[in-house]
Amino acid sequence: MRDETALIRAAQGGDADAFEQLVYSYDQSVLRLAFNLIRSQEDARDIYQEAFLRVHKNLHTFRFDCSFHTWLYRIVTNLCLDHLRRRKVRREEDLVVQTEDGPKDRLDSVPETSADANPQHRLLNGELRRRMEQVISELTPRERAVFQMRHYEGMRLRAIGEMLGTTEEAAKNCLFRATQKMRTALGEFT
Amino acid sequence: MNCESVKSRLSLLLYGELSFHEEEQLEQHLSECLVCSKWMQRERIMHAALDLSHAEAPPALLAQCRRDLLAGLRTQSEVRSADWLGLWQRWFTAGSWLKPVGAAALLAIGFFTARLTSSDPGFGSGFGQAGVTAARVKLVEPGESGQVRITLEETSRRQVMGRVEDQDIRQLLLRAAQDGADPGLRGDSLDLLKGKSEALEVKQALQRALLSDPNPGVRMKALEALRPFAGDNEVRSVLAQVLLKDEHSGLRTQAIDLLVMNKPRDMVSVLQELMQREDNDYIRLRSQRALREMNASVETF
Ligand SMILES: [Zn+2]
Repeated sequence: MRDETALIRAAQGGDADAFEQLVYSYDQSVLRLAFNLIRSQEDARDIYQEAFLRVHKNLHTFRFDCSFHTWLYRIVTNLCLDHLRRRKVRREEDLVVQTEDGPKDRLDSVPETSADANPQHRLLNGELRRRMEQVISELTPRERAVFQMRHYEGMRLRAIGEMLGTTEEAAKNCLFRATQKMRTALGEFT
Repeated sequence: MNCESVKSRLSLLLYGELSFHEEEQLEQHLSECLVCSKWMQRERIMHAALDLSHAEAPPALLAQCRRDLLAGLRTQSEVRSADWLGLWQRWFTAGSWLKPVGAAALLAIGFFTARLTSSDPGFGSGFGQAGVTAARVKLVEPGESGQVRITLEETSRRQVMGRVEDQDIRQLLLRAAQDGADPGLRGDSLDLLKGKSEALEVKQALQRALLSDPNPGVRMKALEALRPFAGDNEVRSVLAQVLLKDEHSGLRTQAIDLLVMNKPRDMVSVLQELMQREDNDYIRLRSQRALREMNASVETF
């Protein structure tokens, strides 16, 4: 495994294998972020495609003045935010996805993974999960993005601010508002 | 710090996103205030509950995305090739040296079109090198009226059509059957040649592939193509070598099936040697039975 700087330089020089390696070391988490933010497989797929095509097209402009991770996520989060803002206008039904068998509650397609093995988690299933999805879908795109990146991707607020083109303080305020909204909405459950 | 402001900061505390000083104040308060410690407990439960609403993207989706990207990159590089083609066309149409050589220029454009828009072999090797690197600059020299003349050396791509019986076509297929880099190409070539395996050069190519192609799939295709010649001495000797040496048990199984079809006296020593080294049960059984049928000893002494 080559170190990342070498990989980026090689990809900038047109080395297709290096570009491929670079993509494959980040694409899983990029897709996870898009999928959880956008909550639609089809749209997450579009975001993935558009993000890496942009990376490919603009990689020569990357000057190492931030980490590649930050640079990449700046592209991805911008695409996701644009998408969420457009969708707000369209007023799409968040909790229902279209499947081959007709419309389906998105929660039914969320894998239960470790939840069932853990008795504490089992209590939290059902109605609470439904409510949580609802609250998250009602956050503003920015709140949602910050919350997602902090809570699920474990990124620091400073990095999140950098990715969203804002300050650490502004990202902190976003997270603050998001958690407050959730606390209010989920209050009766906890 | 009052209870309300503590309560509103609990989440940031859990995320570890408070300053050292704030964290210190909050913890101090929590250790003394029962109401707020209750809130802290609820905050923890909420955090745990939120974990549930996170989903991994399905693996099939990731695979699909990667395939899409591959196709997308290919298109992107074709677009860039087309840009470059546009540049060439502008050069040709604007340049004063076009007029006397119009036909040649058109031919050259056709040449580039063929080379540059032909589909790339894929992610691994294609998209980085579309456009300018498709041709190598061989010579540069000053031309008339401030222009430069560049001599390019290119490898072109073209198609030829014909029947396998045609000597030229067959030679190309035989060459492709030995293409070191691409087992798929070698296999496809053998498939096409298969129908003409009575031709000596084709039969030899098949034997060569069966003995030494590094890819077992290609060796299997060669073996299949040689099936009609299982009675042929030369082919039998190749099959015996496969039986004793090929590391792929599927190929050894095919080889022994072909070799023992009719009491193969010429194979006794091969089968005896096989009994010394073979560890695949089916092959051992076949070999044993064939030796018994020929009243030959199962072992060498
Ligand atoms: Zn208190």
